[in-house]
Amino acid sequence: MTTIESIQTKQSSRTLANQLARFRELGIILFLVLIVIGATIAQPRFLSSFNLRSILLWVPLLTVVAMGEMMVIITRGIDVSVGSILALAGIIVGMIFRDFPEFNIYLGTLLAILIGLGLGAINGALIAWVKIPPVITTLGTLSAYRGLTFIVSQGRQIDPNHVPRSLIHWSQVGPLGINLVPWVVVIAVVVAILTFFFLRSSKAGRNVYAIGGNQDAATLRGIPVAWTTFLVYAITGALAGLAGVLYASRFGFVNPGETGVGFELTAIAAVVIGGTNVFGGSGSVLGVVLGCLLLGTINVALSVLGIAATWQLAVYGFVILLAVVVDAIIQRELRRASTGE
Amino acid sequence: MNSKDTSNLATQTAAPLTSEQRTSTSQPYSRAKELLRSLLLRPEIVPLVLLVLAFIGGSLLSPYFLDLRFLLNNTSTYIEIGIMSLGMVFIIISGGIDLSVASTLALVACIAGITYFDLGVPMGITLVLALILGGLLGYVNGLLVTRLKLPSLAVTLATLALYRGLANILVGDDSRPKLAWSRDIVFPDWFVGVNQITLIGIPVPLFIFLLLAVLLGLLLHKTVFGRWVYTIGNNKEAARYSGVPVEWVERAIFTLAGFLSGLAGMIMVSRLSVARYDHARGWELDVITAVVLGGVDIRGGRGSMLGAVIAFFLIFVLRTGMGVANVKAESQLFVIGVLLILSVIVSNVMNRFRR
Amino acid sequence: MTDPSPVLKTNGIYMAFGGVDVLRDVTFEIYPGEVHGLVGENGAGKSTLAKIIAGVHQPRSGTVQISINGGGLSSVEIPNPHAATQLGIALIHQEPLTFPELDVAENIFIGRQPMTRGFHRVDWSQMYRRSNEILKSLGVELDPHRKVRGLSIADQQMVEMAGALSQEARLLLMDEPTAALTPNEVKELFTIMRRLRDQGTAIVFVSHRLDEVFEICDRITVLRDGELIGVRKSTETTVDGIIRMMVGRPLSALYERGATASQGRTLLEVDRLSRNRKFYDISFDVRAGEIVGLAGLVGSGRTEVARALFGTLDIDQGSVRIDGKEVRIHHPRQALSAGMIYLPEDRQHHGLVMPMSVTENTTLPILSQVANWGWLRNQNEHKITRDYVEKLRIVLRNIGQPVRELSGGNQQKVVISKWLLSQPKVMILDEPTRGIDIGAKSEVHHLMGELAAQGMGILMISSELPEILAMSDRILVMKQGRITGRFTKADATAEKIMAAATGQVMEGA
Repeated sequence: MTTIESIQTKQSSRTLANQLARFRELGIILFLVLIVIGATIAQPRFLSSFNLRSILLWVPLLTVVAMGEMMVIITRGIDVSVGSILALAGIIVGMIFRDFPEFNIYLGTLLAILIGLGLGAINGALIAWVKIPPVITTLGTLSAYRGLTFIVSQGRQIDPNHVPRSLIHWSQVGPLGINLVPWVVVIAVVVAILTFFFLRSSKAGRNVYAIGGNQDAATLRGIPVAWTTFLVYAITGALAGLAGVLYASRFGFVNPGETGVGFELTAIAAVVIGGTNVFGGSGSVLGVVLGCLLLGTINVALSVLGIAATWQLAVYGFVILLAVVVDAIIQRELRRASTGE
Repeated sequence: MNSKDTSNLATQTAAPLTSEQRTSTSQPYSRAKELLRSLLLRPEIVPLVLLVLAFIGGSLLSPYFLDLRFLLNNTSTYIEIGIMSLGMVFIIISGGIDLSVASTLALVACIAGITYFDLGVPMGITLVLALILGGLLGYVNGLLVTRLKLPSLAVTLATLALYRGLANILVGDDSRPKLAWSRDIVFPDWFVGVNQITLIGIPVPLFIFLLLAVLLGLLLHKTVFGRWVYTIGNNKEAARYSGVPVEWVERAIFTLAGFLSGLAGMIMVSRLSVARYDHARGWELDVITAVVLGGVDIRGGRGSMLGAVIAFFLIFVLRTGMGVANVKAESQLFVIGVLLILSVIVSNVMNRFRR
Repeated sequence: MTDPSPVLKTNGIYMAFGGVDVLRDVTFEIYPGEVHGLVGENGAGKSTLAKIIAGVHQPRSGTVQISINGGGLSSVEIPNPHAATQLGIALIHQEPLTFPELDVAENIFIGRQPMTRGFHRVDWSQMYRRSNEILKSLGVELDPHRKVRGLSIADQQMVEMAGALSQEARLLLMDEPTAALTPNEVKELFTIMRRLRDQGTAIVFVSHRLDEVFEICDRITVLRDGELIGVRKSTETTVDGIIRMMVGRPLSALYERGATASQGRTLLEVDRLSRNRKFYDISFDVRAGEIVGLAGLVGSGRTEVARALFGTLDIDQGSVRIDGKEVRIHHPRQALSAGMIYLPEDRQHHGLVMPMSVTENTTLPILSQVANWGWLRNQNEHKITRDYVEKLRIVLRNIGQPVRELSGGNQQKVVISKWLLSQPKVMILDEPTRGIDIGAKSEVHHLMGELAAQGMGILMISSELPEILAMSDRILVMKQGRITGRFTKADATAEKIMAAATGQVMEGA
């Protein structure tokens, strides 16, 4: 079984796959650079510290949620309820801040995370043990949680004067007084790093890849499929809860009808652009982070160029489509290369 | 007793039993019991029971509920969901999903508005073009799924955004006719208010829905095409090896769904006299809920049109009832979401009994 | 086998699925340091027994005992595969269960990756080091860093075995491991198995291939209809003796063709068919009334040729004529209307739609003809189906029952009847009797003979030499994508065919 021919195909297949993975991340960076260049040419004021900061402010919110969404997609699932979890957690904590202005913001953040964890856990339980397909479950909770957001808040939004100053400072000041890199960015970076180590160095993290790669094999190898699946959705919920607080910090308000609406789409877009396979089994933190950066840049570029926000939705849809199509073509070529089919 | 003989309401036909296998179903009592059991375990039972319950609940909540005219009138508010769910049935039975139906509705509506107002094309032609456009948008989905072998979830998630996004780009946050225009620039009289016209006593949109339900139900249950759809949902590869034109069928059902979305879009424009990019926003959830509630298995291969129709009426009664009870739209959202999840749980449980 | 104590023993295992008994009172034992064959017809229960030992199923009654620490036997519970691995039992599957996107080392250690002290992180370098050691001890050359995706089935099996070894398995259960291997790969597998056996591992070898069983096994256990018929040393019995135990009656009319008709016109003409990396320059023809056998090893390209003819695989060049007319086939539908049908190798996944009824499966290819302008006519369907059920003597409860409830042989008959309905001129059968009981096998063979006699042209792909030799009027042999041998019934011998298939002369075949 180790003829010369097969050794050569083995080696070329390995490097080809590796090459393509690196290629993907380089490709995103290249795209990023192109957009920056293009935007600067069209509008020289693009390259300003203000805009850079806009990007830097926009990205952390997305990154935090995208980390969770990435893990869900690696397990071959999907979570479209993250926007609603973000809103519900955000509004509950926002209401607490409104009614108890002295409430500790760290406690508030922790509470938001726990609320998100609970909501995500419901998703996880329904998917892992009641065995409802992820798309249906999260479609249902997207609705149910959004409805709850309205009910709980009675339709009233959380205004800027309800949000604690110290919380808003997270988006204005950074560590060591470097205001270019506000605390929210640091938080997002920490989340990304933690996710990276979780996926790379913990058994549970490796199990996430295994489940997505071959669920039957995972079960037979004694991997706790149900628990790991549950965990992934619960973590995603917790991250969405955190994002709720970051939202309040960044925008200064939480509105039950607007906050987080359509956010899942953005998160999925970032994950898919970042090279995560929609069929599960593979995905990298770096790729997704770059994807978030790319989307953030596109977002700011669009507004700087005066292109209305109305373009956003179409751009996301197009970008998801592009990423998925490109992936499919790459997969097909890879398969052709190794099996000739 | 687990037959998937989908074209027969009675699930079995007797074949000559070999001598080794004579069973003792000759007693009428046990045969009746078997019949009752198979009837009760039909997936359509759940939405039917819920419908009856919801109806009773609704009538307790408000006297309006028993007013037939009120009910009939109200169907128009949600009828687009019903129409779109007729197409969704085919897609889900075939093992796929289409998240872009509501976005297609919006895009078709907006392009129709632009075609009529901005380009001056006569409304009759615009209507026809809109329907064709709907089919085309669905065809694009089908093409991406069949030619590039992409999962329908990913593709229609993208087109959900793309199509509505395009609508947003085309009309902005505005509408057709534009808010700023004078009051007399409107869609033609004959086009507007289709929900106020009645045919044999029922509003035209409802009539269209029922007519389509019958036609498409026949297509699904009584034709070769329908049998193909079930087969693909059960085992796509075996279907292909047996000569079923799998890719053609898949493109066809996505096109059908797109066409129905376009039709729904035009009905909505007629109803509301306006085309906006946010028409039917989020309604893909209701459509999928209706189909799944109706007993169509989300994994494909089983389900019936009848179930989906019953489920539509269930959702209609629920939403109307909640509206009458002054439950806010957003809170209704909560109920529908929970309903979707519960319907799958119940259908899972029933499956286990059926085995 | 000098150790007097078995490593595992099952006592009185009773197992049933639904209402069907699968194992009855099976008492089976295996000793360390032996390769023990487990044989039986389809449905005899050998796979189920292996799965019970591996923890995949739980027996309705009966116990399993394992020797702990080389001592005596004690009863254990094996509620799931994980428990089995903890007890030192590993199951190697026919189609290896691997994680394509993870590398070899992780496939070996998944779920039990070595962790660093202190921080409890996955210790990658230790994982790669230990993987290298294990692979070396197996004598396998694989790079632990490479992704499993793209590895051959044989290599994936090696990864699975390495995984078993990494868990210090004392008992290896191998379920039809050679089904997808080339003879070279089988030889290497056997070498590895012998090495493991000499190191004291106990191996259970479940297989249909009696020649292989006799080659590698020290003892053989025969199951029939869920009962353990007997255990023999391989040196003290013969293939016929084992078959008699498997079947319960002496074999007389196996591989009988029945009537042979004279050859008529050419129904299928294949000219220089080529597809890069799959097959090259394939030319042959099939005439009315004849059965052309296509022999060759797994991976020689036979199924690919069939798929290309049937339209599920594109060709680069070449032409095909059916009954004199040139055809370009890109989809099975076109093949069907040209009069050619294909019985796929994988009956379960490609041949039948398991949850659907016998009627629905049978009428599927000709549905448009049975219908009235697209409108289904149930009466027609039922009548036609009943006709064929009688004609082919298919055993079932009623034609509305799902086809997955039928036995393997009857399922194959449904497949055949569904194709016969389309009244083909040319039939391509890919491993038509694989996984079918000996009794049903001869029925299928008789059927094939009748069909040929009625004027059909049949191309039969088979890996069973006796079947090829007995059934074919002419034999083609493929090796690595090319036709390397053409024989008529008269001058074909097993040696010549094997020589053409492998490029080597077989010893004493």
